Amino acid sequence: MDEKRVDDEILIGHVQEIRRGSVVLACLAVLREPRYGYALLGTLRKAGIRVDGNTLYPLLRRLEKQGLLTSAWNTEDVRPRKYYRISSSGELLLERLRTEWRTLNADLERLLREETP
Amino acid sequence: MNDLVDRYIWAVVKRLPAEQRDDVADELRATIADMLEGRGAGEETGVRDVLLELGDPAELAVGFAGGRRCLIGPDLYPMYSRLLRLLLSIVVPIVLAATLAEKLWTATDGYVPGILESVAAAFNVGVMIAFWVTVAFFAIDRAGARRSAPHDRDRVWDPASLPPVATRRRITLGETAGSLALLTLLLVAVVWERGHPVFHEAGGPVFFLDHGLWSGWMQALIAIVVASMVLEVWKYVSGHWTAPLVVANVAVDVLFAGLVVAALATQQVVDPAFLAAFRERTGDAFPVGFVGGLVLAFVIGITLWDVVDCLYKYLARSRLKPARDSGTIPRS
Repeated sequence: MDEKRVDDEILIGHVQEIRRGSVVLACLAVLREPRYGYALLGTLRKAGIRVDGNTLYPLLRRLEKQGLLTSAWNTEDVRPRKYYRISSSGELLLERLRTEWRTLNADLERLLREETP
Repeated sequence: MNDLVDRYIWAVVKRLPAEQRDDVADELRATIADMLEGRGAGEETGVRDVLLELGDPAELAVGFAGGRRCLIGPDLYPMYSRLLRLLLSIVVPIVLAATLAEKLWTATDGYVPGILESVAAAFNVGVMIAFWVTVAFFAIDRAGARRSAPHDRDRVWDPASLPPVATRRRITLGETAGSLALLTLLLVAVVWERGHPVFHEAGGPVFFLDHGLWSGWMQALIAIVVASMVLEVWKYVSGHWTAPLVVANVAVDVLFAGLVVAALATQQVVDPAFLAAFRERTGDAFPVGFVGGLVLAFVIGITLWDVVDCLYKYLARSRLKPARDSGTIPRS
């Protein structure tokens, strides 16, 4: 086997692993404005966050169950839609995750600068 | 809206708990409509693409449902499979041999019906064992009574809690399988008696036990036997006697003895029709008092022995504990 080539499947697996946790952070940040699932997906994609609907929609429910989001049905739209919005405990978590993200990013940046030629 | 969409939504929500279904279905329907609108494609190809984007409904449902999606987790599975295999390999041949012997002994119209009936009986007992052992393990899995739970988030793991190397199990697989086999045979006997009269009189079949007991007494007995089976599995999973186990064991023991004593004291346990038929056929009275006394002595003896045994083993172990925890690794 050619050792210089990275197996596509392995690459995709690790990229997904890196991205996975960041989706929660992005969701919480964007949901300071109430949004429904499809609109949220669009906003995230426009912001460059790649996430699939079949990951995002279940995630929204999990976050709601954890009390980080609240939801309400809006029946005044063209069709009834479920709007999600960050809760007060979600705000607290977002603050902590943001700090975590920045620290991690700074540490990794430093590490990568020092270690890579 | 569209047949394919309805079918897709149903394929997702049928895998969810009932209370979640309507809300998920409504939201999914709105989302699919939004996705279609966003594409601006024609109805037919649009729907296909949208559903392809959402992916396999089974996987989507897994995301929505969350939580445990297995009957018996990987922690308990090896024990479950070993115990079940051992138990089946003991009990099924015994039942097969016993029924074969009985059927062939009493055969009047050739051996084939007897053989078929015996195989069916052995099969039924096997199914019953598999069912109850699975129920017992499922209950223990959900109760979270794991012998060692390093990934249990509520508990702080302490290296001192590591079990000593190559220590012998206090409660062996053989012991557990033996107890479960006996309990299964008791269950089988109780159910079997109900369909097998001792005598056939002009007035109809005569049974040994008074079937008035099925007004709740027999059901209680079956419940206690099933509880004992769960307890046996719990005990095996724990590997040794723990305080909650001792409490549960004593409780089940006392319930069992209490039920038998109460039944003997207040109920007509042996069918009067049997007593009459017995006297008529043999000329002697059936020794009800003697047999009753024997059963009583046996049950009380077994109960006392079991209570003392489990208390003794528990206390012996807790006295041993400090030495075991600070002990050195034995070379063997």
